Amino acid sequence: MKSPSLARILFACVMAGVFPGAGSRAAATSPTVLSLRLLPEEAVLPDTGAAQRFLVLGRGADGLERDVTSRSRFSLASSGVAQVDPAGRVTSLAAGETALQVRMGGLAARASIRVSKVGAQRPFSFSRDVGTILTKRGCNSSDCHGGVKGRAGFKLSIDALHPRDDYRWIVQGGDYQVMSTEAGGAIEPRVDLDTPDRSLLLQKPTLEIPHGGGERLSPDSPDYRVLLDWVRRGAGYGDESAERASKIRKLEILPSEVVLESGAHHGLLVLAHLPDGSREDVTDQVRYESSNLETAKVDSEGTIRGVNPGETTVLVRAPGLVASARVGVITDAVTDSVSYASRNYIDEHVLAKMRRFHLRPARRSTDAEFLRRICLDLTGTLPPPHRVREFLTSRDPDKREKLVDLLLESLEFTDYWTFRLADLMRVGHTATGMAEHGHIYWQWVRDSVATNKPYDQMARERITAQGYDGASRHFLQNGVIPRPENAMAEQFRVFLGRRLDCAQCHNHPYESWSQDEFWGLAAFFKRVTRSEWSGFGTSLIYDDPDGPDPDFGADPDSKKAIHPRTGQEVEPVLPDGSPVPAHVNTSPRQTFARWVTNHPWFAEAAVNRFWDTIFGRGLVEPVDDFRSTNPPTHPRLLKALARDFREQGYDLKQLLRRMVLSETYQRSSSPYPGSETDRMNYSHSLPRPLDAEVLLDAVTSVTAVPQTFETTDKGMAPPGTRAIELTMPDIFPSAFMDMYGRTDRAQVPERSVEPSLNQALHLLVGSTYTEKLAAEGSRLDRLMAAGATDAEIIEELYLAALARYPRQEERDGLEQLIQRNPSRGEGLKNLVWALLASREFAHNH
Amino acid sequence: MRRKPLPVWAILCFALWGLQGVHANDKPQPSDPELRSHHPLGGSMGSPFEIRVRGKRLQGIRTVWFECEDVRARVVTVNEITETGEQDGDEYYRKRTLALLGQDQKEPEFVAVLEVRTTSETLPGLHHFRLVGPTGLSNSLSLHLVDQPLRNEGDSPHHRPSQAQELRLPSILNGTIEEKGELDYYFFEVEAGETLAFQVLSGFELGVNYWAQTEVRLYEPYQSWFGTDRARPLVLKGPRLSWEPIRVRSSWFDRRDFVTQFVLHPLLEHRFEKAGRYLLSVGTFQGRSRDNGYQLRVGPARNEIVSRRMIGAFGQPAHADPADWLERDSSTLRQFGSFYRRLTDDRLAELRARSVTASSSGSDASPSMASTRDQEPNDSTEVAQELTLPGFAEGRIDFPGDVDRFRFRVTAGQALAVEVETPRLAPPHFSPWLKVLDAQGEVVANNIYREYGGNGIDPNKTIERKTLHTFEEEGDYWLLVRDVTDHAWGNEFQYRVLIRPQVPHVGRMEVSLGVFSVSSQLIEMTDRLNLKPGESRRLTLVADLEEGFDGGILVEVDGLPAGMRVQAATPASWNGLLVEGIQYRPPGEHIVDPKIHRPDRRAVTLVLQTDSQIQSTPLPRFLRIRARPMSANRIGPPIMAGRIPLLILNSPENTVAVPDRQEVALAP
Repeated sequence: MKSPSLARILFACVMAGVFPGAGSRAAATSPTVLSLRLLPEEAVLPDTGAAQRFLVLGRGADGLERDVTSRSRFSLASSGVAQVDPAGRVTSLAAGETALQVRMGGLAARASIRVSKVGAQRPFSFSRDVGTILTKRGCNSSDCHGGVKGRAGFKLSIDALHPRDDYRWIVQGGDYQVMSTEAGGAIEPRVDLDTPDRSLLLQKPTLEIPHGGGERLSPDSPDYRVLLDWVRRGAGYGDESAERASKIRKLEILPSEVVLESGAHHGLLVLAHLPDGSREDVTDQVRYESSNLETAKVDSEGTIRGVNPGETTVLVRAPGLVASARVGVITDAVTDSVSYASRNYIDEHVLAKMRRFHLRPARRSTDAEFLRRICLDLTGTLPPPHRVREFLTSRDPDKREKLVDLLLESLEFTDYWTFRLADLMRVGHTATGMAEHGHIYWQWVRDSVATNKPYDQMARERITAQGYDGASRHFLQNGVIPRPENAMAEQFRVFLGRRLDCAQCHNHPYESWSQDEFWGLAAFFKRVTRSEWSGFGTSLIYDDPDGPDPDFGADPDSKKAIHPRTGQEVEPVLPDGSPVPAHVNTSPRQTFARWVTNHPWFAEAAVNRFWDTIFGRGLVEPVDDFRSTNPPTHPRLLKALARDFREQGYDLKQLLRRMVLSETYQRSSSPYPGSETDRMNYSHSLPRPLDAEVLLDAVTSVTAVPQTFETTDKGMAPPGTRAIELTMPDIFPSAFMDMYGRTDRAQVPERSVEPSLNQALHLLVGSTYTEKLAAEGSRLDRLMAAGATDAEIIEELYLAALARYPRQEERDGLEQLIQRNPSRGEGLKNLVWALLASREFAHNH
Repeated sequence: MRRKPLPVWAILCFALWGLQGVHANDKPQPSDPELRSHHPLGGSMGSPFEIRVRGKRLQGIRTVWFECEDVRARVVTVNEITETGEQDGDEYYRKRTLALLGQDQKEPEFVAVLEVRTTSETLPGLHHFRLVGPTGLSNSLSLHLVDQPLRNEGDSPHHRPSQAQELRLPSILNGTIEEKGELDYYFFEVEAGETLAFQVLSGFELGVNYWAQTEVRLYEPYQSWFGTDRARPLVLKGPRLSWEPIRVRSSWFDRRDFVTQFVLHPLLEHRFEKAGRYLLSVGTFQGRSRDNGYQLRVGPARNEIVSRRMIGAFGQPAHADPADWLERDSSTLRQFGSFYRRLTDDRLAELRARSVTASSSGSDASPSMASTRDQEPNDSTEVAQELTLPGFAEGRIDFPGDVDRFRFRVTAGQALAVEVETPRLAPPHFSPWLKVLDAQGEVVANNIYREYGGNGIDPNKTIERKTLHTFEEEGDYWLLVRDVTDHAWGNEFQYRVLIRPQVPHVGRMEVSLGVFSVSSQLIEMTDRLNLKPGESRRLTLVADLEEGFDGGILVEVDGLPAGMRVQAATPASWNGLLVEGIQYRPPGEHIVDPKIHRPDRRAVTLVLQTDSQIQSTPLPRFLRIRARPMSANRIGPPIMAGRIPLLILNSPENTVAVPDRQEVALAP
């Protein structure tokens, strides 16, 4: 074979197809309806003409519940209390009780109706009455007046989160200014009390005068009349007690999960929970948004239409609140009722959702699949061939559990999870300003992992770090104390999984975080300062009640926590407004650290992050972007994991053990037919590319040619050091690892593992591969020197690279290729290359 | 064709090269011997041993000169190194820059083998030595002499845990890191509950090379399921970084002798809960240096083998520097470790001995010093303990965030000094924060000072050993003592605070050849004088004027050879900058803190001049420089300010008439 590259490709072809592929689709099932149910099952209405919609769901023989409201007939058990229209909308008439009955094709269901004596309409509330219209009509959405600067000088808080501010801009007028509390522009009200129908608030959305946002209101709509009446009545804010009484505490969506077929429709009901415990149907008072229009669409009435198979969420926005419903779109329903094995609560939650979403789990992984996966996930290390043989031949029924325990206690576990957490904690030269400090910071991470330090303790130590050792250099990046707002936002993102940065300059455009809350939290870091002796890098970090010093001649205020809009210095305040004790002798960061680690978000963010590492996708994705508008795929599982993590004392090993011993983790990466597109429900193991460091170590392990790591200042890591053991990426440059997505840890890491042309070229001619293939003393060299046959070498290399034996067709094909090669050595090297180039090798699956 | 822009590092190098040019006229040509490293780092007293010294311009070296009289050595061989291998990082950057400038001529390196002998009078500790050759006197390296058995590492490779060599405890062992990234493994046996201390001394602080700082790690044996030859690192408690004055002379653009730098902590302590075999490894940090000697000391904690009183990795000098006077930590006047310095009951007498008010007999009567022990609770003004002046407040930080309070009474106009000693741990491990509060709770004195470096607007805060204050109003005041952090506490965090009257006196003095203008720091472009007939050299003496001393300084120089004279000169242009130092502040800057505090300084420029007929000196001799405080009508006693070794070369042959003998020469 003249061309080595061509030869290698032939080798690769022999190996193609061994990686998990797609199966076939199950046959469709009949949608015959077997039973009905009504949502809600009961309703309590005031006697003020209040209305409640009902949904009728019919369960088919295939187990799928479909919306059959439009095919149902409604009636009330008694008249006088309420009335019902053909669409299932019940309106109260007078106090009393009755029942709503529904029939369809011989099936029936009922819901109880109680109308209570109230007598008077709810008083006006600006937030509920005006805020609802502004929200439902999208006036205060982030791409309109709810944006950071508002639109055309008119600023509204997103989803009417801050009604007092909204009232000011509508009734008093003026242009919103980001960096000042003062109004800019013309201070003219947007309501006209003398001629209410000439109010800008009405003329713009009805397009009586030009409006960039187009028509939002029709003059004959009820919402228009509500606004006009409000202006006519003097455009008051309303009574504070009425405001409190009508404030929505919670939104309930019925059903909270919807599964429907492509092209099918399904309605939603939205109930507002009020402070007095009552529920109000606000289905037609909210705004609906689909998170993925390719999967499902939703109209302004809350009716969902399935588009393509997949999963998404429908967001429901009401004044001050956002809720979501999960929507699964399927091609065909699963008809069988097979019971799948469940080892712990993880499986119960995952299987329960799979049942609801008509997915079937893949078979259990083979021992070979499991062995490679568990070694990579817990230690970032490939199992050596003799261990693969040992594991595959073992008949011990508990061998998986025993291996997990062994790996959790291994030195390689400490290596790997130090690497993972050092990435998260941003241990680097540029992040710490000095190699020695980066090293000690790394050592702190390593010691924490080695001793299985509770994760909450680790968080507290990092947040409150002082002195010069341990994690203190985190507060002296490149010799500079970070600004309080930056320090706080970074800790918040790392430990609470939320990105607050937007709230630094303005109220958060998508979430309920206000700018005041942001700065109240930032102020916990405003005392962080340093004291030096001489030169760079010799600083002690501590908290000085006088605050830090400005750098390089900057204004003294430059280091204070100054609210950018008010210009006032901010004192530490927790978001719940709870008092913060005066910190005379101790750092206020201790209070912040306790608040962070005691907050339910802390455990949720942590388990989600580690779940992502183990399962290849977070329950919330991205892992540090928890938002009400980015809900978890398995909210109950997330809470169960978080509770477990807390109850186990934030024990990382216990958490990982729980995850990897679940059946969910141990599923094959070959999906069950029909579940191929599933990437959210863990119906099969998600293959994922190896991280750059792990990949380089794996290449080194298979070839058995050590990798040397030189430092930027001509030092060298001890021989045998692996990439995952390197303390700081920016001290140990590596074009290979940079190409495969290694981060420099200068920012909170977001690894890019997307394949690239550079990677492909490097695979063909890159020094990492060519040098290791050509090096003397490699695994291949040793096998050949020991007189191993081609078959033996193929087997050994398969075990080293893929942790499995070659299949017979692979053996036959590869042996033939080797024999056809004029040089046996070259043929075998081509085999090594083909293995390293295979997707099966470069992925954890 | 468009030229590629210069890389950033090259631009930086040019800039630094430019800085170097500022001192081009002061910089001696590199013709004298330069020692870079040696190994083993030391030896045991009683029997001769050999050391290998690596350096440049060692051709013709024949004599070893110790700064003390109780150690002898002879030159056995001097050979040029043919294979130098990979350079250290610093050398690498230097050569890269020189190559850019077309000045990359290679200068050969040599290895001199010395045989060292001790006498019955030899004291253990650090002994400084230099080599004398035809081109002059070299810089100094230090030899660690111990009065314990000392062995060398074995010949067999021991770079993997399975190859570990046995270490019998207690032990002092000399080893060498021959290659970059190399780790030397040793194993040892311990009893359950045994606490051992591990100290590793390296060449970086003794000689010239910061890149050679060593690292010691402890392990337990480990059988890897993955089949690798590894050991499991032990998790250690205690500080992992140390703050050390290190020499950076090898840094080509920075001619300061010392900078302070965080380095890996050279001293570890560990309690072994389980009996059995353990391992340790020694290597250079990040594998940055090769051909680097180390001395490993392992023994029971608080054993004489391992001294906690050793200032970091430096080691304890066998002979104290007669000019040593630690009044405050200062990087401008290189002095470190003053927090350890004992505050004695004779403190006032010690200070008066450096003033014009010293009695002729030198025996001043000091008032008795009262001492008040810290007793918890004393964290509030109401329960503060009474302190009698002058007197000591002694205590420790008992719990995280502990703030000890002491009340004392002053009269109007009383000028007091507050000094602190931390006998067990010093900054950065224990950084005592002293504040003096008045009855309104306002801070009137504070030992954290703000300085302004750079161009005057770059603030640095320093924790000082001493603070001064003149109390305008009579009344009660409170002394607060804490650590700057809120988590340091325990028995190691002990302090002694002395509040006493101020005594105007001469503080730290330093003799130097120049100043590093960028940071206003004194430098020693060389720590020796190699002069030819007819040459002159300028020296600068800078003295701190403490606690209001505003007199003059009378300078005396002893040890001049015939044909050499010393004269006073106008200050060099940079003297003003040095004297004002980092006290200066830019006009109009409102960030300047009124609490900025540094002593005033006086600088005296001396010019040493040799006659054209001066005789060469076969061996070096010390020039001793003494200073006497002066006032209008009084002169205080002489105080040793510094000493510098001098060698007169025999021009024009540029050779020195060294006696043709292999035996050691003694200091005059």
